[in-house]
Amino acid sequence: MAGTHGFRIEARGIGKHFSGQAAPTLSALDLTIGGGEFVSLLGPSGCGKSTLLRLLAGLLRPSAGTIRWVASDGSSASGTTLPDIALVPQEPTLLPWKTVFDNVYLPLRLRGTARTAAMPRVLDLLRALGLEGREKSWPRELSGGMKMRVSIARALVTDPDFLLMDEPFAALDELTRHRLNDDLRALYTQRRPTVILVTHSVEEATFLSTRIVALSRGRVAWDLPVDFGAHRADLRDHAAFQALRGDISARLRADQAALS
Amino acid sequence: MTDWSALMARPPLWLRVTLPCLFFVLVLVAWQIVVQMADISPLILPAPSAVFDDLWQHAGTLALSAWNTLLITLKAFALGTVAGILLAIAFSRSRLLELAVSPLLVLTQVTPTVAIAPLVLVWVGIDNVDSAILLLAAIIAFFPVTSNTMLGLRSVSHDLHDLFTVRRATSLQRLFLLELPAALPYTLAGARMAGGMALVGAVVAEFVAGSGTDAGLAWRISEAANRLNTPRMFAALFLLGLLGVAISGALSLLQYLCLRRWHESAVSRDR
Repeated sequence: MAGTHGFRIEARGIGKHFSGQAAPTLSALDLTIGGGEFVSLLGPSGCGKSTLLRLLAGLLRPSAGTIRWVASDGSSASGTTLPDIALVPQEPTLLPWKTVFDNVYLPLRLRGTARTAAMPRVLDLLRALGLEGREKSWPRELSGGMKMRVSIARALVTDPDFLLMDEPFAALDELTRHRLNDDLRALYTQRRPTVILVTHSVEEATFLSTRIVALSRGRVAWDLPVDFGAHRADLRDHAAFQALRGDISARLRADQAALS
Repeated sequence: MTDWSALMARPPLWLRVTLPCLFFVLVLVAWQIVVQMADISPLILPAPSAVFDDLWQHAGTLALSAWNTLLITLKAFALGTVAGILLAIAFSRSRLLELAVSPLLVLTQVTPTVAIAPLVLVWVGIDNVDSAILLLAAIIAFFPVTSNTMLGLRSVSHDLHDLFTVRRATSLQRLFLLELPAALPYTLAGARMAGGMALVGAVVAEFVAGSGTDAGLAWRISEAANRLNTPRMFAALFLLGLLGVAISGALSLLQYLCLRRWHESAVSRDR
């Protein structure tokens, strides 16, 4: 199981200042995310959530501070010992010239896994994400929700240690969003990767996460564990869930008020 | 009325083939009538019947010349396309190289082929006119491939680049699995232009360089011009036109076959 590899990310004193911008996007941010956590990053637009995610993915370099990948034995990972990271961007960017199967197979292909060897794994994931029978479809033939499912399957195909998601469900209708949330929660429970999800939806964050981290003014505003025990399908209707959701919304409003 | 506008909005293949053919026949008939009625000298404007008569009489020679022109065009096209793609890849890898070299390439494009032909002839054509013609045609053909492919390589979505970065793809994997396929629609559009330009280059170069061992259509045209054999000129021109249409058609077909399943440009949408 991926999560049990036990990598954790240690971000220390992270600052990011884009040239041409008056204020830094992130400043002196400290955050440790351990193996197997499902962390949602919340906060107002422009608070640096996506920037933090891109820093963790290695797509940006911090202007200050360090990001360390620490293995369970306490050693820092680098080069080939780095954990397997997968990214689900906001738009389901599939290769339009490849079929659904080949899009999902791509990360394995980049590692040199033969197509036939990858086949059971890819088909298994497509089934798990409700894409059975769609393996020969072209991306343009799929709806937005289906494309996002393919994008998630592609991210999961290597059984990654870290799954980084940047508002993956923002553009979807509520019903599709709920279904994908359910599927994602089930996959998480099953495989336990470390998930870091950037989202604007308090409900989504509350429903999916084991921990919610709110950013404000480029640093961590508050950090809240979420524990509903084992996942229940009707969680959204529970009073405790509703209460926590209300509480988190109130905290975010307070953050917003403090800003203005 | 709506039927008609629907037909015009998405003309079916049979219409797109028969309509221009019909129009061409119409032009020929009008041409024939005008030449006969006005009693125009065949030295100035031969009737279509005279042109086809000449074409029929000298079918062997003309077909061989057309074949030679086609061969040199295809070689120039292949050379130009491969060189064009390689250059585009090199430029996309090194901005420095692009800044240094691309003005020089533009120079080769804005200088008329006719003007550089004598120079190329002196360099490579003294013993081997054919390779001079090939080189000249390739020089004209490569540019649209290079510029289009470069545009394509630069147009790859940043999200897809990020995906390959996060997955630690090697630069060769990035090139072959992401950049070149993404640039393919652009490269093919460039190749379509290159096909036409290779033919133009082959003909112009043969006019300037004269013929090598195998005479092409351009040679036939200037030979006929020297002998005031106007019907022969028209016959050769007609074959040249056919070659152009065939090359353009073949490349359009290639473009369609490569893109039909995934690219918006080749996918028809129900309305």
